[in-house]
Amino acid sequence: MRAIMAHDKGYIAPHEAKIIKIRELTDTTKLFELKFVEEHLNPLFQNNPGQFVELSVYGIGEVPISITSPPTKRGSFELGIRNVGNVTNAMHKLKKGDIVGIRGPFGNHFPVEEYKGKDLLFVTGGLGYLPLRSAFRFALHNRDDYGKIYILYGDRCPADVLFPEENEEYEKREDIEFLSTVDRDDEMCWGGNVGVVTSLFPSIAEKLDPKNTVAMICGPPIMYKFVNIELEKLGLDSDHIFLSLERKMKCGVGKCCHCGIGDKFVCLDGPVFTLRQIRTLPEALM
Amino acid sequence: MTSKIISREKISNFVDSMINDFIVIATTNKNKVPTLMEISSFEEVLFDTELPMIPLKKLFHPAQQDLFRFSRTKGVTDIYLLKATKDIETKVVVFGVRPCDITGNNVLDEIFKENFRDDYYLTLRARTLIIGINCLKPCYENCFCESMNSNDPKSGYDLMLTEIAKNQFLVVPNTDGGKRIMELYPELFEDATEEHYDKYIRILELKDNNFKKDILVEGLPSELEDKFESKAWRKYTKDCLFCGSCTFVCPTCYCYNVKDKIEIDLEHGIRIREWDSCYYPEFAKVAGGHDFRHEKERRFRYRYLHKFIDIPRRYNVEGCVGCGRCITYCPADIDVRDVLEDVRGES
Repeated sequence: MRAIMAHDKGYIAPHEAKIIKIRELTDTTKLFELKFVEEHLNPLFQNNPGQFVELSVYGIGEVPISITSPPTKRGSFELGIRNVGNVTNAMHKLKKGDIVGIRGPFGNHFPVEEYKGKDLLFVTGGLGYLPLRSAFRFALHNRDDYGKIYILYGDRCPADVLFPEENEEYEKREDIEFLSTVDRDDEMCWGGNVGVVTSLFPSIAEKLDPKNTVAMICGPPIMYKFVNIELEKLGLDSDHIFLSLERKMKCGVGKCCHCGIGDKFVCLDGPVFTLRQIRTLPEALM
Repeated sequence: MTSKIISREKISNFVDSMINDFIVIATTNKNKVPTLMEISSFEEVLFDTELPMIPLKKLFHPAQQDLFRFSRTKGVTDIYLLKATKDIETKVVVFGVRPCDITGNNVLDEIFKENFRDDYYLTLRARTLIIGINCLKPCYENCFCESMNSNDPKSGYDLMLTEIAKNQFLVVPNTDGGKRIMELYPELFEDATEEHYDKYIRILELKDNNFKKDILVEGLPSELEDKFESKAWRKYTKDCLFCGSCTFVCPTCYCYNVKDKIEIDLEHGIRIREWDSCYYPEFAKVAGGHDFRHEKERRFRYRYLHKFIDIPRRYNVEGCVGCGRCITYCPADIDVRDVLEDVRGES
């Protein structure tokens, strides 16, 4: 798959994209569907699962945002964005038809295609759902290429749960195992499991074949600490555990140095690393 | 022979002639500190003095650089890279660059070429010719270039001047560009003879004897890796003011931040990039407030490890050139040589 780069004007300048659809996912998170203004770019834009773009809200700045839509979605792409900073707050104020800037896609990816024939275990917490969605939807689109597929999803509270209608479909499907949980259920409106995402592991531990399973994880740093312990307890090889790291990826192309960890740049050599790689990188899981 | 001889007196004619044909940049005293800037006469050049405070990097990777102009509602309207390419008919000559700074700039060349070519840097670099002056002895007490193997660059310059006898320099071209400069002013150069070459070789042998190694870089990366938790890091963290001076004067520090500057009409603006420093508190902080290098000690250590482990491993070049600027300009008197020694010395 080929990334489009803005070689025609130096990759530092973004291409203009138009917001064609906005959907509120939660009180703080919106899903933006974008399309390039220059029509010829739309068929060229091909993302791999877990890659990110640099999103510009002109006049405010530029931030890295993971692509939420799977590679199989063509002609437009989706970014799920929580309003936590200057640019994302400004983004939340934009309307359908407004123009933003896009550079990318950048970074390596979750090796979904590379592990055809294997069992896949996706583990995600909170906003980590958004980048990982591109990976598991890609696997589901090519369902016959894989063995068993497990998806474990944890979030803070029922109101924060992303894509509940899609999750419901996954739950109904017989050919995958989708389990979700929330940390707290103060309003008692959640019918399912309450607890952190690792509390879902006992229900799959028996069924999982550790030698044939590849895990792909995306969530906050604290989640990685505990999930990694669980995965190794299950007997997964650290070469078969893939994690996506978050950093301040200012340039996206390994130059500005803000996302450096050891001799790696998260924007260029990552964001996806194996657990084995991460163990050799000091301060990777902070 | 392509190498030529020039006398000390003729060097001033050489520089003044180049001023007619090129934009000539050299170390001057115009800013009260040694500063690289455009000159209009050889008289302004600090020929025998120390290194400029800010190295060569500022010519190709300016402290602040406009990237493009945008409209808030329409997007990118004008890309300054394309404009810059049209304005560069005139070549730039940097005169009197020291070997350590040439080596330092070679590091940046590597970094800005890797994977994604940074056209903003490379366009400015490509229009520039570099005339070096060989160092025959350490230039001041903070210099440790020999330790960092930066004293004898094999590339990254077009001409190199070496003083082979009093007031007599051998000019050695290292690129076609260097040869063409010499061809422009044939009357200033004499042909070099065997005798000149003998002198040159003797002088280089002498040079080797004049430089001593302060630090052993062999094995340094793996040793530092083992000393990740050394208490010495904490000791120096207490002294450090985190002002970032060392990063700005460093020939191999290049990290930058990107910002939008909006104009008073609130519609148009310019995206700029400017030097940043990994010593600053916001450097690794992301939206939402999580800071991946919150503790000062981690920030202090990161710069050292980046120079002495990460750059060599990633780009196959030394990440420090031993120019000693970080020592000279540190308000807290931290000496990189002491830090390394203390960290290594700890069992």
